[in-house]
Amino acid sequence: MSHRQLGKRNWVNRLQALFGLRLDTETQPRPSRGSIFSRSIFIRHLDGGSTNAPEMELTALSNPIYDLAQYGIHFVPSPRHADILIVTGPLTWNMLGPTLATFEAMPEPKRIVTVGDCASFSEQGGDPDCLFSESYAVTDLPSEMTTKIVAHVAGDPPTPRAIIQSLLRLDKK
Amino acid sequence: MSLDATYRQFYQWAEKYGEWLYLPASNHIATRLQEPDALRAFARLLADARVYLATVVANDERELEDHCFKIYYLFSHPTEDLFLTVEYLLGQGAEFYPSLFALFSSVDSFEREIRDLFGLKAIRENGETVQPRSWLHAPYPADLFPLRRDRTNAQLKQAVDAYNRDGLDRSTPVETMSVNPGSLLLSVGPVHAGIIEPGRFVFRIAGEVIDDLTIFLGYAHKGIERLFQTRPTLTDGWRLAEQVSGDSAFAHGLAYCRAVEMLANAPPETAAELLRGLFLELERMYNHIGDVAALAQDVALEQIASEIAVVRENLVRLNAAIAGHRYLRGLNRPGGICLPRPLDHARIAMELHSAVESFNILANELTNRSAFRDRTIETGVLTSSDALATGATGLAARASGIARDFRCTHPSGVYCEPWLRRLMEPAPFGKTDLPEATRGDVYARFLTRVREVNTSAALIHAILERWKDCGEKENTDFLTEIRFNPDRNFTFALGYAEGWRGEIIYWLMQDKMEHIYRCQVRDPSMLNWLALRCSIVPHEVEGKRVETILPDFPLINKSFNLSYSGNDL
Repeated sequence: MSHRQLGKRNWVNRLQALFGLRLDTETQPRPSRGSIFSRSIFIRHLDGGSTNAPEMELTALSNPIYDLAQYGIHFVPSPRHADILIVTGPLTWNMLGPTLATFEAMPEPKRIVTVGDCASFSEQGGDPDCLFSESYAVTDLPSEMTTKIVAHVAGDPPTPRAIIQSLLRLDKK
Repeated sequence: MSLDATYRQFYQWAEKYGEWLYLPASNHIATRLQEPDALRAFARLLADARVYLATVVANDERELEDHCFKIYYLFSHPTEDLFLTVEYLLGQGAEFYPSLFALFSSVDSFEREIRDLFGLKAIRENGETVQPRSWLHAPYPADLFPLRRDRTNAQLKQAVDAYNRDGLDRSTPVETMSVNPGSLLLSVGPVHAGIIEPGRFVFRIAGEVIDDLTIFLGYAHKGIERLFQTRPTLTDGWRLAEQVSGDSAFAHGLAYCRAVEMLANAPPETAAELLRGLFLELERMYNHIGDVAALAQDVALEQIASEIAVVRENLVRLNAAIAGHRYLRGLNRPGGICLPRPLDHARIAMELHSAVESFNILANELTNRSAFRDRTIETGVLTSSDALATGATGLAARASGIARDFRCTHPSGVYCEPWLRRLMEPAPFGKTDLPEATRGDVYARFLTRVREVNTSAALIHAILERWKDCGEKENTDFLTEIRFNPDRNFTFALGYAEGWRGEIIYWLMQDKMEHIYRCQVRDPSMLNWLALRCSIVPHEVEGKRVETILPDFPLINKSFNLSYSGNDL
């Protein structure tokens, strides 16, 4: 589904909520039944030692052009409020402890989305494209966290559009 | 003082204290010495002359002819295009060297970094040694010293893995601040409430007032300097340089490429230099504009912030359209520039014009808002004396009235051209027309950004005018051939570029196989973290004691917007 359609759906929903209008709901895609976070995703961001380029793109998601909030997706200030943890960067040894602490602080059900080429942990042995995978200062995501990865957004850094598309697909998971 | 006189003076000093003089470049004098007293005496002379300590590089040369560790101190003259390297030899087997902290407080970060990465201990004048674990925290064995050459990269990785096999030590670096009755320590980070990089700030607060602040960094330490000497050759090291700090990817790539070009003695052609100037200024513009948006956001002027964020997004999209990457990666090569397609100069000129126009209207609106002025004026003041003492650089220094800009003092490429230098003069440094822009507070840093956006736009327009007349404007590759000279094996070269935060310096030593023996990266953040602290802890401004309240910290931090990744490497 393109995000233009989703934007329209959102607009229709808002009209319904505001004026009690009943529009043609048959054509409206509904959140699938299996989804645990449908139409409401709260995200906590965690920088595992990235170059800060993914952070710039995540920040850009809140500008009026991308306006992530229109899809019901929000960044929250505490892991206690979050459904999803976005992890960027190759995960440095210095950040491993804080990363575990952040993940442990999240309530269940919780999932992880990795953003950026350096943060591809799901494949065994690290990502050959990431220049940092050989470094002594970089480690792997612990297994209790890798099992919770539901999406990876590739790119160096991924564009805001790619990040949004990936987050919207979560609706169906 | 003229360049000649300065050169002579540097030369005399270097001859008096040093043992052997050599010239790494035409604007660079180097000398070496071995006696701690000579180093301190020489450094005192330089400190008195207000010479700027640009970087400190440690190098493991135990397998080279001098068989010892070395520390290279790189000084730059504040007004003339002149560098001075003081090479200090530690002596065989020695792991101690004299600290210059009493003379240049900016060495603190370097000495702590060298302590962790090389295991070399700086001895302060009171006899104390620099404490470890600023860069390598609890998960690292105490004797790892990853930039020493006796272990391979794989062995280093193994050593860290083995050290953590029985469980990770999750303890945080320990703060040493004492707590007075009535005050408390507040630890914030390394994971913050916003979308920012990792760093930990420990405040000592009494009520709302910040009494003291310790900044713990190193969380983003990725081992970049070791990676430089592990995999890439001199010709493809630019890929790693672009990963040092994502928001300064072009400037980092450029500084690296300049260092390689110095080693290979291959200056790029004029067209490539025009393009480098263009992209360096484009990078400055999108970052400055983004930071102004963030400042507006931090004082809760959401609507203006949103509108400025749109201007920034449009510029980043312009980057993508002309350079193929939103953050200008993949353009620099040693020897020149590679474009994905011929430069659409008409489009750049048009879009830039409308972006600057919208930005100026919005920035002007901010200057008229009392909500903005009240929060930013006299907040987070970095006095010019503190800026000098901490060795602050770039934008932060300029907003405190210190005219430090490598584009002016150490120009290279297009910045040497008189037609461009003319445009640089009034805007960033005009002290008389806008005294508010040099007062060192958040507002001054805001104004400095606004003015530099306008200067950059003027520079780009001048560059594009030249580009129109350039014979090769339909080309995409502008490269001079790079051929390495074996005579330069195990010698170093400097590469530098004035990024939007300040000057970025690469210190690069060539290996005999056209690989990198050592590459030290100096991001401006390395110096400015100290300046940030100075602007927050209680200090005197024009004879008056000023204090900062905790809620102003995020605003002040944003007004500097330093790189964590560029500092931690």
